[in-house]
Amino acid sequence: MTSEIEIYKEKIKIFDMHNRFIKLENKFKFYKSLRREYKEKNKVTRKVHTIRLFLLNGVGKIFLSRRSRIKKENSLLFDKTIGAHIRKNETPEYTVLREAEEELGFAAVVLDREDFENSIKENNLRLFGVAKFIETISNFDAYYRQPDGSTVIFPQITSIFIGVYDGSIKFEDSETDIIEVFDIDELINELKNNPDIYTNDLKVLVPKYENELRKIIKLIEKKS
Amino acid sequence: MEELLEIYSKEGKFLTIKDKSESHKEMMAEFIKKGKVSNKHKHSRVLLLTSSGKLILQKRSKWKGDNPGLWDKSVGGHTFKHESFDFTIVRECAEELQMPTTVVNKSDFKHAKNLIDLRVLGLIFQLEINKNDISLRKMKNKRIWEEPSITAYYLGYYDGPIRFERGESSGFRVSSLKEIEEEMKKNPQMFTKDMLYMIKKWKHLIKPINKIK
Repeated sequence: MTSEIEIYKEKIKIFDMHNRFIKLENKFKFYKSLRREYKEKNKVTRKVHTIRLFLLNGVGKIFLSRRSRIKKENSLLFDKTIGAHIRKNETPEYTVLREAEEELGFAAVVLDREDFENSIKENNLRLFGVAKFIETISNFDAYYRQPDGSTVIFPQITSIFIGVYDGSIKFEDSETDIIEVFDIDELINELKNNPDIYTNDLKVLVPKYENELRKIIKLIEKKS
Repeated sequence: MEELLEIYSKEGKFLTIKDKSESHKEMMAEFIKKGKVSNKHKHSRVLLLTSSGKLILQKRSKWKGDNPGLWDKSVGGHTFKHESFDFTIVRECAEELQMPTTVVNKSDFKHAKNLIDLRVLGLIFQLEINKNDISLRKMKNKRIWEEPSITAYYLGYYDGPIRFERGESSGFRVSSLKEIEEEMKKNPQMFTKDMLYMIKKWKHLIKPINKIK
């Protein structure tokens, strides 16, 4: 488990609005100053680089994580499987690997498209998870619902990954309090009919990557 | 697969052995006709906690005939013919959560909790056997039916990984008693009656493992 002390020590990569790397900064301090900037000017001039992972299980259902009540932002909303900041000395691929281990307790590898598809067909994905890089969105609006109900929007550079894993998971009982699996059709309906319990990320990204997700689900279904 | 159950009378007398699905059909038919069920089966149910005392609950999948989509106790199921209650718990934990467990008696539990790595093995003890248990279950059509049973209740601890069986549950959660109690007050319809009963009855035991005496 990542202790609170480690979170306060965490150094992340900071970029300007043209996606040029500025510096490494302590995450906690960075967000404090970013919020101040947003409050004063209603916009921000710096952004972070994050990863977002959508994980499918062995029958092609999507794992969603509900953000626990200790999270100040987007509290109690269902969200993508994993979202994380890219830290000092990390590539997006490494961040995926680190977070899969830290948040859900499984070994993940990031593969290119062909290896990823072969791995779904050939490997026993109860033993490890595989993920593939989809794209990097250089100007993604991340919505954060505040405790008072208002929403702040921070632009990010974000790298999207889709993964498959069929083994055991262990979720730390602090940041996430529920893990649930959704069938893609069910999830698309839910996002329309019950939007208040899902993050904006899901509402934007699930429809955006629906075709990609369906292609991978087909591969999984062929095997199972 | 054929699953055989021992059938008992309301008074607890052994009657016969029947296939599970056949016996359930008969029970439902009797309930619809007479508003009550006269025979019963054996069940085992366990409430699992993390070593920090948080509850591990499962969400029953939408496709289940009984209690679809509700938050439920950690694990439970029928005790089959020739099975002990303890073995049902070990089997159900393995089947539903892919979780290795051991069931010990209460006095061994006190020693075992200091020896066993709960990230690797679940540790469970029996709370009681209720020979006249009644479980209220919601059918798909929202109607409630009462299932009498002989039920063994257990409490256990586990900190390891789980893999939820793909049809039975659609999710898992780890929450404090306080959070669950607040939700139960606000949205009692989101929980199974079994769950409400177990929390109410054994609330005093829902605490970190080092506080269990």
